[in-house]
Amino acid sequence: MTNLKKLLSLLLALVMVLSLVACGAAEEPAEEPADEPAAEEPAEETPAEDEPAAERKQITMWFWGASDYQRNAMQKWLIDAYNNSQEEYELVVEFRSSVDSDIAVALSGGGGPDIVYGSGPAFVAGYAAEGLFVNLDSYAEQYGWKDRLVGAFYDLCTVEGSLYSIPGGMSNFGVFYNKKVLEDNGWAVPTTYEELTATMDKAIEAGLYGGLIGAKDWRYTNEWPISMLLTSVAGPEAVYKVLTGEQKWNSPEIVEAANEMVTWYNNGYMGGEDYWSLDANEIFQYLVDEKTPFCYAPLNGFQWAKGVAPDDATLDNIGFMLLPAKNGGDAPVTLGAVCSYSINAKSEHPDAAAAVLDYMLTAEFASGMSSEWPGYWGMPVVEFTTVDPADYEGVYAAYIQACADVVAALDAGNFGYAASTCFPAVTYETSIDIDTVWFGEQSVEEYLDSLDEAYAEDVEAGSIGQIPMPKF
Amino acid sequence: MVNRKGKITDIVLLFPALFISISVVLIPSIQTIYNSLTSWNGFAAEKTFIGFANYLEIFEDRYFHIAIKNNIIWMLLFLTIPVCVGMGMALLLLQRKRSRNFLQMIFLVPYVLAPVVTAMIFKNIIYSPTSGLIHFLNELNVGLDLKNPLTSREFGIIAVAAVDMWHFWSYLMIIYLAALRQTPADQLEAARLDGANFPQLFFHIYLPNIKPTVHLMSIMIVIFSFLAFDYVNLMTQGGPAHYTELLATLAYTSAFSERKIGMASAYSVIMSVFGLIAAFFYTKASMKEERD
Repeated sequence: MTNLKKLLSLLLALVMVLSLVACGAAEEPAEEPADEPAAEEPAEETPAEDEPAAERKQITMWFWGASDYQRNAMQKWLIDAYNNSQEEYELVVEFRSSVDSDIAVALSGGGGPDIVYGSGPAFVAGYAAEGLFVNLDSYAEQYGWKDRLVGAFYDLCTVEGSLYSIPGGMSNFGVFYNKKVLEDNGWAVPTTYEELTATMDKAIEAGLYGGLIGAKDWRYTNEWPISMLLTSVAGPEAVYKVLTGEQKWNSPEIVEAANEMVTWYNNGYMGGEDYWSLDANEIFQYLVDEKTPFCYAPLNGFQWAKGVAPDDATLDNIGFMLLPAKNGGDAPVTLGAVCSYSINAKSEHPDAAAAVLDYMLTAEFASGMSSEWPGYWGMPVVEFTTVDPADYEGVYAAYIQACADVVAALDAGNFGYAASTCFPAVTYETSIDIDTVWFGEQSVEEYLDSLDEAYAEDVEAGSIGQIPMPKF
Repeated sequence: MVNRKGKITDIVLLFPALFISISVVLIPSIQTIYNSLTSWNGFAAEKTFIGFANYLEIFEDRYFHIAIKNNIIWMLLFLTIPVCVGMGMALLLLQRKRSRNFLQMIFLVPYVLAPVVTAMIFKNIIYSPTSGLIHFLNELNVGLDLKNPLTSREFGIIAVAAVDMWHFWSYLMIIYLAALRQTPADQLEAARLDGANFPQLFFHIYLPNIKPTVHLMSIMIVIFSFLAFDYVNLMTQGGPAHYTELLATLAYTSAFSERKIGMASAYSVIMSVFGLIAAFFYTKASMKEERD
C-alpha cells in the first residue's frame, strides 16, 4: 500500500513537470494566436473570409482597446478591406487595453505581433537601433511612400536616414469651440492669440469655464498644453533648435512659453482645479453642453465630440481652429501622430505586413475610416488634400477639412512639435513634470534646467530621433 | 536500502516545487539584481555594467524620497485602519451565529470588485468635485469648499490608500474571523465562569490565540505596502506633481516610459529589501513563538 502511494506520488510529480514543460513549449510559436475581434464581426459577408482561416497565413497586429463603433470601423475599413483584397493572408487585429506595455514586454522577449503599434515615431528609434524592426526603405521605394507621405512625417519616421515606421493619424493640437456659445454671448471666433485669451476671460466672468483640458484619467495629458504653447508661444524655430541640441531648454523663448503654461493653468484657461477632475470625454461633454466656449485637444477631439454629442445637430455646433501664434503670423501646426506602425523583425511575413501599411497610407483608407471614426485616422498623406470635404457632412467634413489644412501647413513647413511624438523618452517624461511648476514645487527655470539634464541623458543614450526642420 | 529509496523519493517529490521556485523566483531574482547594475534599456542585446550608478541616482532623486515617504504612510495606514476595522468587525460577527455567513458575503463585496471598478467608483462618484459626492457637498451651500482630495499634496496618497483600504479590510476580517473561531472553547468557558467580560476575553483569550495570524497578516501588509501599485496607477499615475508617487510607480515609469529597465530593476530590488526585512522579522518572531 505504501509502495502504491509512493508510485502515485511519483506519477503525479512527473505529470506536473511534464505540464510545466508543455506550458513552456506552448509559448514558442512565432505567430500570435488569434483570439479576437475578427470573431466578433460576422465574416460570412465576403467570399474571401469564407475560406478556412487555417489556409491563410496570419498577419497579426495589436491595437488598444477601442470601443464598439471604433472596432466596427476598423473591421470594415482595415481588416475586411485588406483580407478581401487578396487570398493568401489574413489580417488579425487584437485589441488590448495595455497594448503599450504588452508590446514592450513582447519585443523584449523576442516576440510580438507582425505589425507593431507604437506610441509614435519617437518610440521607434531605440527598437530600430537594436534591429527589432524591419528597415522599410525597400518598401518605401517599392510603394513610393516618400512621395505619398507628408515630408515632415517621412523624415520623422526615419532613424539614421532609414525608414522604420509609418505614422498613424495626425494629432495636431488645436482649439475646439462651440459656435452657439460664442454667438449667444456675442463673441466672435478669435483670430488672434490675444482675442482668444480675452474671450476666455469673458467666459470666466460669465460663469463659464474659460477653456478646458482634462487630465483626470491620464497625467500625461500635461503634454497637450506643453505641445500647444511651445508651438504657439516659443515658435517652431526655437523648439527645433532645442530638440536638435542647438539651444538650451532654459532659454528666453522657452521660458516665455513655460510661463504662459503657468498663466493658462492659474487663470483657469484649462479648467482651473477641475483640470484634474475631468477626462477627455467629459471636457467635450461640457463643450457640447455649452459650459465652455473652448476645449483644447488634438484632432482626436473629433472622436470624443462624436462620442458625447446627442445628435448631429449638436455636433454641428462644434468647430475647430488652430491655436493662433502668440507673436503673430500664420498659426503653426504641431507635428504629431497618434501612433506609429512598424514591422517586427521577427515577422515571417514582412512583405504582407508592408502591404497592410501601404493600404493604410491611402486617402481611401484615411477618409473611409474618418467617415465613421473621425479624429484618429487622418493619415498624413499628401493625397489627403485631394479629398473634398464637401463630400462629407457636419463634423466629418470639419475633420476632413482640418486634416487637409494641417497637411498644407506641414507642407509649407509651418509646424512645431507634439511632445509624445517628437520628444525623446526621458525628455518627454520630464516635460510632463510641468505640474510641479503649477503646484509651486519648482520654478520655471528649475523645470527647464531639469529638461536640459534629461535631454543630455537622451543624447547619451542615443535616443534622439530625426527632427524635421520647419521653415524659418 | 529503504533509506536510500526514501531519499530518492523525497528528492523526486521535491523536484516540482524546486523547479518552480528556481525558474520563476530564483533565476528572475538573480537577473533583476544583475539588471539593476546595468544601464539596460530592455531590448538591447548587450547590457552595459555600471555598478551601483542606478542606486546612487535613485537615492539622489527627490521623487524617490517622496515615494519612500508615501510607501511608509501607506504601510502605517494599512497596519492600523483596516486591521482595527477588520478585527472589530470579526469580533462582532463572532457574536452573530445566524447572520454571520450572510454578512461576511456582503462585507466581501468590495474585496471581489476589480480594482479598476473600485478606482472608477471613487474617482467619479466620491472624489469628483464636478459630479461626485464632493460636488454634492459643495452644492449644499453650507460653507464647504471641498477640493478633489487626489490633487492634495498632504492628502493625495491618503485618498488613494483609503480606496485600497475600503477594498482590503474585509479580507482581513475573514482571516481574523477564521482565526478567532479556532479559539479553544474550554479556555473561553473557563474565563466566562471566572466572570471575564468581553474586553477581558479578547485581550486574554482571543488575542493570545490568534497572535500568529495577526503577526503573519501584519508582515504581509508590510510586504504588500511596498509593492502597492494598482490603485495609484489607476487613479493618479503618481501625480499630480508626483504627490502620490510610490516605489512601484517609479519603477513602472522607468521601465515603460523612460525605457530604463536597469533603473526599474534597481527600484524592484529596493522594494524587495523592505519585503525581506519584514520576512526576517516574521521568521524571527515565529521561531521565538515555537521556542516559547
